[in-house]
Amino acid sequence: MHFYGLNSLREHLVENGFKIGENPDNGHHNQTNWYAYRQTNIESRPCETTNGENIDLYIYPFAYTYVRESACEVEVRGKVDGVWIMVKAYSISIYEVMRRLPDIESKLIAAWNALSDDAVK
Amino acid sequence: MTRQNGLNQIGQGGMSDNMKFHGLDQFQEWLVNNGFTISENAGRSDYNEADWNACRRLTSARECETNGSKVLLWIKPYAYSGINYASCEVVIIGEASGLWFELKVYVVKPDELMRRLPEIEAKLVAAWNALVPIDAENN
Repeated sequence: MHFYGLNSLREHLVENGFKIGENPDNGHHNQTNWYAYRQTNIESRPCETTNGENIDLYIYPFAYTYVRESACEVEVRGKVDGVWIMVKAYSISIYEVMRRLPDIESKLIAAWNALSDDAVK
Repeated sequence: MTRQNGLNQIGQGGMSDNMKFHGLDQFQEWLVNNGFTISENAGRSDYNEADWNACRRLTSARECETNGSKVLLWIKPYAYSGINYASCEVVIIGEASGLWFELKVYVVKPDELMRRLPEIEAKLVAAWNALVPIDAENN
């Protein structure tokens, strides 16, 4: 598979432990065709449908060269207490993602861990 | 007068002729009775037969950096009578620490949401409040 769009970001993410997959649902105008993912190193509650490991972090890039716009979404998603939940940071510039990824990841995981009944009580 | 478009058969039943918006009428009425305001969902897909969203202000949520205390709980319904399918999303959107976040419970059946709304709301608010440590917010 040939991945294209926002190559410097993709290389940065691979160097930081991410794997790359094809994003077949990237929208007609998005000039990237990939997403990045890796399991978080932060202790996190598992998704109810997986095997008890830490949750995965996903990064979805968007690039629109004709308007010189690019951005990313960083998200975690999974099943908690029988409902599917997504927690996402969005409209983040690629430079901010590269600079603030540990901070963004810790915020998303903190939110994810707070979703459980035990945390709510 | 009744509408015979099939939307009211998606697990919802009754309807009101006074309603301005269409689709999942009983669910819409239930939300109004529970403090939600209904507005048009102008951005829905052509296939979604529910043309409305519901929102209610959250009083126990941390403030949004842009919208202040006006943090809203959104309910976004989806209805497809052709396949007898209905579901909804429950969403909080806001800015914290200079980042925009969306927290969403999705593919929830309306019946399940009517049964579990306080719990689902509590989960989303807890997650929203946990995005930034209170200590960090005060510093």
